[in-house]
Amino acid sequence: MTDERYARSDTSVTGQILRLLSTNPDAVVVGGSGTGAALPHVT
Amino acid sequence: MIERGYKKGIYHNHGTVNAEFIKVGGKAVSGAVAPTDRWSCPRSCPTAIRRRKFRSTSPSAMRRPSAPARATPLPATRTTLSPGRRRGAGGAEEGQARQRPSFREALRASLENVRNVVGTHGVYNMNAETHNGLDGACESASACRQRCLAPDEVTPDIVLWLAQDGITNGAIYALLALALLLVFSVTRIIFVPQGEFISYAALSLALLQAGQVPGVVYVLVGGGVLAAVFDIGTALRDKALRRLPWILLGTSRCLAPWRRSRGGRRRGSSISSGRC
Repeated sequence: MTDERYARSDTSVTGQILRLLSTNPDAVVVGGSGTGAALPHVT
Repeated sequence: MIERGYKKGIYHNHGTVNAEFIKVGGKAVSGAVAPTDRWSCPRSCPTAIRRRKFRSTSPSAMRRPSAPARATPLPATRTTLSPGRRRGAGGAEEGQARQRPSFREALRASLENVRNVVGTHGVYNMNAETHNGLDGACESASACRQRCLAPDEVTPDIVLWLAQDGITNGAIYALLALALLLVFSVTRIIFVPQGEFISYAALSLALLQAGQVPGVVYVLVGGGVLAAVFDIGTALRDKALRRLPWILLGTSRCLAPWRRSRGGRRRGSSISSGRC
C-alpha cells in the first residue's frame, strides 16, 4: 500500500501516478472532488 | 492513469462527482466508482432518464426535506459527549467509556440510523447494510451513469450546444472584422488596439456575471453628462431654448441631422450636428 498526496491547486499529478503505478496496485482510492479528483484519471 | 495501463478500479469519496470532475476528466473518468446521486448527471443526460431521476427527488425537495433530518441520539452514552461534562474529574472515566465496545456499538448504530440528511449530492439515508447512504436511483439507472460519463456519444443536445457555441464565437469574430473594416475604410488606419475592446468586453461581461458593476459605468455616465453640458452651452449661446428639453432627454445629438434636413440649416446647428 502506498500513499501519494497532491494539493488542490495542482495541475499535474504525473509524479504521484508514476510512483503509484510502480507498486502495481490492485485498487486506487482518490480523496478529493471536482477537478482535483479527475486529475489521476487523465494523467 | 488509464493511458498508462492501469486497468483496475479507481474509487472516490462522497462528493467527488460534479460538473468539473466530468469536464476535466472527460472520457478518462468513465468507469470511476464514486458514491453519488442523480445530481451528478450533467445536462447532456438523455431527457427521459433525467426526468425520471429527478421526479422522485426534485432540488426543492432536497432543500426542504419532508421529514426533518434526524439522527437517533445515543441512548445511554450521549451525556458523556456533552461539553459540560468533558472537563474535570470525569475525563478519564469518560475516555474509558468511549473505549467500551458498547459505546462504539451505539455510535455505529446511531450513524447507521441517519435519516434524510441533505448533502451536496443527495439525501443520505444510512442503514446497517449499506453505508453509501444514497437511495441508489442513479445506480439502478446504470444506463444513465454510463451515458453521462461517455462524452463520445453525441446527442441532439450536444449538437445544438455546439452549433450555438459556434454561432456565438463566429459572431464575435465577424463583429471584430466589421469594426476593423469600418475604421480602416474611413480613416485608412489599421486600428491595432481593436483586440483590446474584445478582451475588455469579455472581462466586463465576466464582472457583470459575477454580480459586480464595472467601474467604466461612471465613465459612461460622466461622458453623457459632459456631452449634455456642451449641448446646453451651445443651445444657450444660440439662444435656442427649445432644444433644452431634447438635450435633457439625451436625444439632441441624435436628432440634430434629422432636424437640419427637415428645417434647413439653423443657426449654429452645424456645430453639434452629425455626431450621434
